[in-house]
Amino acid sequence: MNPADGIVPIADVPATLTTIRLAGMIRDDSARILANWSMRIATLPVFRALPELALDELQQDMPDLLDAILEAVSVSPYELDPTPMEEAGAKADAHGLKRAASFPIDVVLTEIQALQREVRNAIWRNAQEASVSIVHELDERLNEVFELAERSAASAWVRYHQAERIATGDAA
Amino acid sequence: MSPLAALSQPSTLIVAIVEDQAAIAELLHDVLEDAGYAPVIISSSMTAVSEIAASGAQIVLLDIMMPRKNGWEVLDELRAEPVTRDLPVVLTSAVYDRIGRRPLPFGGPIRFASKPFDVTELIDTIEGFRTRQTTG
Repeated sequence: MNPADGIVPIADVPATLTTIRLAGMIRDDSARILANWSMRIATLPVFRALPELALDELQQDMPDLLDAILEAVSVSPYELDPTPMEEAGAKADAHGLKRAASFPIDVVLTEIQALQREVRNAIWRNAQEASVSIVHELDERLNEVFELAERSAASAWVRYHQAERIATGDAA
Repeated sequence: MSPLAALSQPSTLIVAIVEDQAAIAELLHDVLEDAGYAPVIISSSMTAVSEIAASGAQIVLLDIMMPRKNGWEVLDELRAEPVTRDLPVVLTSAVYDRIGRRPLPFGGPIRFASKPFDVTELIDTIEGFRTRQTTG
């Protein structure tokens, strides 16, 4: 259906604007989200065992992935452009692929889940002026984006190890 | 001027970060710098006390779980030195149970931050030292 035909989804405009405004506030909070995520991940035993690991190696693709995720979350549900979601999936894929060489799958999944936790913290931290239903709507969108991110990162990890097994002639 | 009195001055506070894990040290450095402090990273607990004294630090963030010499030992040394005895210290640890189960040495004020902590709460803790001194 072409929007030019005059048929568009019925949107609650004020609620959508509030959702977009709240999403913008979360984007403004992204430095804190990333810092708290880094602190959480750095204290995992696998990273504590690497005391020389620099901050940019710890974070790797997370700053870009966070940007892409917040962009995807910020998009109005009535927006039909799939690009932000695809971008978030691509960044998660890139991160999973790089981590696959050195870290087990549970680390990759923990990283994505920890990021979701920090973004969710930020949503509720900034939610004072929004109604609970708007926060829930944003939270649902967050689940959708993070489900994709987790699946993309995990798939990339598996792809790397499958390619490695084929390369070493270890494939079943 | 005593370390505590210096906290109430409007100048940029020098914060020593005693932390063996490079990523956390760098992260805290960036966060503190963005918040307007002058952070100094000290990565070896073996030389921490002399480096803290030399840096002119006014507040110390001290990791407890460090190799060779842990944070408790560094704290004892800090409190034994006249120059550093009264410095406010934030003890940080990823192992919550090990915090607060040890008698604290006499000296400047001490706060605890259990890793992973919210970086904004850390800033609040540091500011709390300054407020405490200003309000007496």
